[in-house]
Amino acid sequence: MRQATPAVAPAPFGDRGVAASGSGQPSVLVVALHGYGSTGDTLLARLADAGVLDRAGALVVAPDGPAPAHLRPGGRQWYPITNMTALAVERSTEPGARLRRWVLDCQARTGLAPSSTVVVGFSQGGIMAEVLAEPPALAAHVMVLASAPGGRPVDPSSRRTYVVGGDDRFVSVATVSDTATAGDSVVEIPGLGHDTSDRSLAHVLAVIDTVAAGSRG
Amino acid sequence: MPKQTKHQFLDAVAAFLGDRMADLPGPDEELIDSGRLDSLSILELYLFIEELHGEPIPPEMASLEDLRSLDAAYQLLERLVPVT
Repeated sequence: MRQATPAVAPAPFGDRGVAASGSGQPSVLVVALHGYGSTGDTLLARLADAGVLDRAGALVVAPDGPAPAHLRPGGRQWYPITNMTALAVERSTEPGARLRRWVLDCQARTGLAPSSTVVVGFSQGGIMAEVLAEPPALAAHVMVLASAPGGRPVDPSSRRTYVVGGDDRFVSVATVSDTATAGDSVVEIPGLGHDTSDRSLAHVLAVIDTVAAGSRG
Repeated sequence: MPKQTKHQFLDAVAAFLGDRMADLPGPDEELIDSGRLDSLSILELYLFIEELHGEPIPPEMASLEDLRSLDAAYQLLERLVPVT
């Protein structure tokens, strides 16, 4: 695990890791939320491979979910897995409130405001990411990868982009398009399953660059 | 009783898994350690069982052990039926 950047708040859920990285003077806070059965470290490594950690001014934090994933030993979960969207939203509410408090703490310690914050959530982490776009939004842009909208309200000051694989067995592009709200963007990555790819993460990089430029602006 | 008989359950799972593997496992065949199901397929099977059950699965009632075979998965369904 990378050394946690001192400016970042302590791990929000137990003593398992907040992983943090970045270089130079931070101008954008990137909150990365892993999927069911993964960890913050695993997602951080994937983002590193895609070049996210090399982005100038990007400070990336990837906390672990609050509990062990009962169907995937060694992994973490944000809430017990379910395919029932309403139940997923209900189960994400309590950890979501704790996540919001932690992100606020990170923003206070780093001096990076919601307008300089990007959230990236994969799968179950995408459901959690939506919590951070609720009023009052804690991020300028929320990137939801491989997850469908849960119906949570979105603050007009925050943009949401859904990136979905055309071959995702868990989430269909049609479902995402049908349930996205008017202000959301939906991007399909042909040939991608329930996963990330350099192509899907290129959209994340573009958003980070845009928010960083606005932050330095 | 579960909403499905064991026969109906195995038929439904066979249809579900048929899209994912050419050689369907037997009811008592090991699914996880044998590598028959990869990690994503394990989650898919769990969510399919939830769909068959038609109600949320209380997390404390299910574990990876319940997905080690189709027999074990059906036993999970049996346990999920509320006692009246």
